[in-house]
Amino acid sequence: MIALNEQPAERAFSLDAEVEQIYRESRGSVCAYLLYLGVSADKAQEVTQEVFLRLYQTMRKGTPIENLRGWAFRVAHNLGLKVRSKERSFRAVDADWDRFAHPSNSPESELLDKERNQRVAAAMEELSPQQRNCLYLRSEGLRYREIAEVMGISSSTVNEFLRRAIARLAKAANE
Amino acid sequence: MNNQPQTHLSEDDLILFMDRELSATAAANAEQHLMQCGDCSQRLKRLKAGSAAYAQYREAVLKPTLPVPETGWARLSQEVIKEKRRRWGWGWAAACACGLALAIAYFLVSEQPSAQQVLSRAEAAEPVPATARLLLTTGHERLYRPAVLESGPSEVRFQHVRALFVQANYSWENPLSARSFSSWRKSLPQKEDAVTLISAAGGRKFYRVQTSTSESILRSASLTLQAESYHPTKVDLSFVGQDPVELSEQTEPPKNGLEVVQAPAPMVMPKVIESPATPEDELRVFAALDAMGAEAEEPIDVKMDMEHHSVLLTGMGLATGRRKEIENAVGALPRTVLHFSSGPRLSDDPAFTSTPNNDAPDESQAFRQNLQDRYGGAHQLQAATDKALDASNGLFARAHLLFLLAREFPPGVESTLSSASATSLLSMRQRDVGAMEYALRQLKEELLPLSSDSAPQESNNEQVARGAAWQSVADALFTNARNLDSTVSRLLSGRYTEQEGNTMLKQLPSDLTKVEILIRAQSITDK
Repeated sequence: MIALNEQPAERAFSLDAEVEQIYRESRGSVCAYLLYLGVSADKAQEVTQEVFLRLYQTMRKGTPIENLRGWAFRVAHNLGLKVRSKERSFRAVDADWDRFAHPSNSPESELLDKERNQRVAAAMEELSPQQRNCLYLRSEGLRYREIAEVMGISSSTVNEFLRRAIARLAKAANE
Repeated sequence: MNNQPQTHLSEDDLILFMDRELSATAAANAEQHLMQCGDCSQRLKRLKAGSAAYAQYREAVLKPTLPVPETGWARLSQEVIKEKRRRWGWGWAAACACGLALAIAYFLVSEQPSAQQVLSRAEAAEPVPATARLLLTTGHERLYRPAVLESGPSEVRFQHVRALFVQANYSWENPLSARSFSSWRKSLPQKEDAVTLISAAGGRKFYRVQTSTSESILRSASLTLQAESYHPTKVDLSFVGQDPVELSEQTEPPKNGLEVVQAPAPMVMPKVIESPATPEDELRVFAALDAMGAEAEEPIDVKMDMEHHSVLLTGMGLATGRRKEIENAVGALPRTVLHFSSGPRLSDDPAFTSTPNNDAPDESQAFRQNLQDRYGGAHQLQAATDKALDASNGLFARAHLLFLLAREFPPGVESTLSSASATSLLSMRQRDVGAMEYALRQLKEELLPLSSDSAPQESNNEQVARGAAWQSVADALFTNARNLDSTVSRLLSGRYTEQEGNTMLKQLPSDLTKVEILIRAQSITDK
């Protein structure tokens, strides 16, 4: 005969539920980031699973994680680069610059938008991969410190990358 | 502009302000300045336009190139189960060696029909009998209630729970029904479903339909149904910021009407004791845990109770699923009592965790660079870190298992064991030692670049007394493996000052040597 003394309050914080929640919240972003890094779609799915599996393992060991989302991006970044280096062909992001540079939405603003977007597209091309990466992670809502951890650089370097990148884009957008 | 301040905000400050990266004081100062300074406000506006241009670019250009496939939680949960199996794989051999016919018949298999299909079939099945009763559990409270209520509950203490149901548009009157679940699910503008087939002990199968959403106060609901009859047996509801609510079917007849019972404080439930427990009984529990792959970092402890009436297995802070697995593996063993509580996880014990210095300043960068140089780059360091941490954790896990065995089977008890039991104990110990030797080799290999400038350790100072009992060696081994794990985890986390880093580097070879000597000593005691 077995007696279980259930404590439902504890279940709220059960590991499985916690990982499940962060998985649901961040899976899409992590997978998109891997694709952004140039990992193939198949591998990106696999790596995404691996990232959250590792998160589960790490939490199961009781290792404290300050920021689950930041942690997931950091592991995705490291695994993504590793996987990408092993893939036979590097899949550069196939961005449709043309569509951005030649919008066809509202006729009135088309000319203005077109010129502006062309400048922004050109400015994006001029940014370094690291600057772009910082911008991407920033737009994912990561703090500078988290971006620094993901990319393995210091917060002040992130600050500098972002300052230059945003200033460059601002110039293009406001010219 | 009149009264325009002389010192303008730098571009850096403006961007940090825009990104809310300034300290509270600096942000307040910047805000005040911006209110007075048209020039800086204009520059901030331009930077925001630059930021917006990126957002637009991301939406228009990047997003279409990053198609994120739909993969639900179910697939990952299977990976988690596989992971558990993989880590526990060796345990099956142990079960055979110990002659234990042990089967853990609780596992999850592949995804099944869609949530809609399962729910439709369930809705078409027999309705819940009006006489059925439910047990509602939330926080520290329990409520026995009819499965179907004619009107709201009379129990005022559960009004807050009822309010959650009403707010989430989930039927309080008939919560354990596919129709109610379906009705809530259909009302969600956005949701994610997962269906899992659960095979339980005795060949029984259940479907578990889980729907999650960010659009409702009820973030997640899981309905468990018998696979053959589609009869719902349990529903788990997770409301934002609230204790989870579980409603399960009660097979035992209720005492009378609505009854509120206070959940008892964690305690060992009474059990009929046939005869006093023996060390053999205890060994069986260890072997069963060994076979199912209970790990050292799990907050599980096994010991004889004070009167030696039974073997007491305690688990603190374990997830419900894990409790059930343990219950399946160990519950049937004679004279064994399980006690689960929601106390602090073992990992909350500072002795079991390293405490990274989260406030480590950027000066840690210099030392991290030092580590990277030793490994030949950031990626190499990361790869070595992963492997070293795995090895160190594995070593510590085995040291803990051995420590538990040593504590429960001191020489006096060990000498009373039957020959078969003694062999079983020895076999468990040998596996632990073998695994530790392997883990230590791995660890040393990964840490090689860190030991290049250390003086060779003088192992003579670390001799273990000849003829020491394996139990006392196991005790020392556990302490030293924990220290080593703590040093390795901290060192490789890279979050500390250079001075701390150098101290740990100096300490590392000594920690490694101590553990190595103790493993060797443990190995000798086996002979």
